Amino acid sequence: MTRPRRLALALGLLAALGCHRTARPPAPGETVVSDAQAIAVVARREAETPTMTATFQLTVHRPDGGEEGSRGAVVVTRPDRLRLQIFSFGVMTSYDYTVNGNRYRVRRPLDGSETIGRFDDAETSETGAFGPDLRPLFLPPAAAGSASARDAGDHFVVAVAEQRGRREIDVSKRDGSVTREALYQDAAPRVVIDYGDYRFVDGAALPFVVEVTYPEKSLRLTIRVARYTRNQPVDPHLFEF
Amino acid sequence: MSARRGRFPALLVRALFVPVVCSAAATTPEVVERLRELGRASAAVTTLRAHFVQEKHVTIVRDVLRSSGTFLLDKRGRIAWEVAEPDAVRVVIREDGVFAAGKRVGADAQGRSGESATNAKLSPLPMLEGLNGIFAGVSEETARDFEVTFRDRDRLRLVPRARSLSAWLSAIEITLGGEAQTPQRVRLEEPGGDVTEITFSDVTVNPSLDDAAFAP
Repeated sequence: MTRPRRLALALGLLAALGCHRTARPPAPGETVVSDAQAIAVVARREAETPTMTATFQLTVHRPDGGEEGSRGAVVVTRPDRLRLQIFSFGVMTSYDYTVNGNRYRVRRPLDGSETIGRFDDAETSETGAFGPDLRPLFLPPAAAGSASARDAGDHFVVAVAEQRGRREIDVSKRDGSVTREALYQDAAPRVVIDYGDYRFVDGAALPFVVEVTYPEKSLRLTIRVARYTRNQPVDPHLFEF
Repeated sequence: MSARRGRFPALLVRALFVPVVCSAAATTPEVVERLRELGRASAAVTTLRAHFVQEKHVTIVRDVLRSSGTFLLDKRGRIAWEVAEPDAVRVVIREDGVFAAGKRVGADAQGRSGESATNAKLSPLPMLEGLNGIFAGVSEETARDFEVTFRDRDRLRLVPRARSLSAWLSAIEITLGGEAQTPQRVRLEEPGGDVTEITFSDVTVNPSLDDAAFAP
């Protein structure tokens, strides 16, 4: 093979594989200068915290202007295990949500109900019998494979193709934080997640305020995290059902 | 118990009746006698007011959620938890339902008659009403609803006899104190492993509490 051909082949392979994926993300808090770095920031976010727990205050803002507050806890084991509990009256577990692979279980003890299903069921994967699919909030799929990025002024927008649409993630140029994430189905966003109040937890910047908006439902959630833990052992039995 | 039975819904009476008949004999005479003594001590309690600190130990995150506020009890079947920290919220538990922040919550939100059979079995209201009785103190009648063992003279462990309670709570431990032998510490153990510990202080026995104190 001649040298120009070898060079052309190498360039072709780099283009096919997406040479930007080899970019290293900037150190936490540092500026992001390229779309490749923005993609690396998103990939790092998902790779550097394989397990996580959090306790939080949840406020539900209803379309009629009413608000309802409760506390909750979540434990995540990537790539596909999640357990979320919401407590009412400070004591009672009123909502208990488990994801294990493509299966989910929703228990609402106050209503005496339990639902078990699969996300790949066409009927349940859209909104589910239980309401919105909560995986995008806590278990976004890995971004590496199909990510692209564009410059949007003071931030980059990283786009990730997903089975039922796409995910767009805003990465701040100033400090590399993920400020917003939107899940699109066709042109309309299904879920918009705004992140704020980043603080370092064991060397990783994590958002302590998360605003979740469901535009179609005119529903908004505010999650104020009280405490995170990262990369601690998690009992696998928590996800069994 | 007659007063309690009178305020309990038929649902709870039905749920408790068979287990009580079957297991009442399991309570030893010593336990019955001690419960009787405690019942006499708390018999004059009609209302309570106390400061509370509540710690819920959450199994899935190995963390503790704390809250505190004022606890109000009317022995006729009304309880109010006025949570001050970390967020102000008022929870009222009465015969006609559970109310949080002024709204009826849970399976009873549509009224008892609207419950499905499944929901009625797992409604939290019987459990909460059962707790109402416990928070007022224990007596010989406590053994009707719970398998009772004494850890020491003023500390009891109660295991619910009825499914309507055991679905929510696997056990309750109560430490009694004061002249009226009212609960000073209550430990609630859930089937899923979570534990909630409630500590009462500044307990006032028989304060004047009007209906407004238990308004939703």
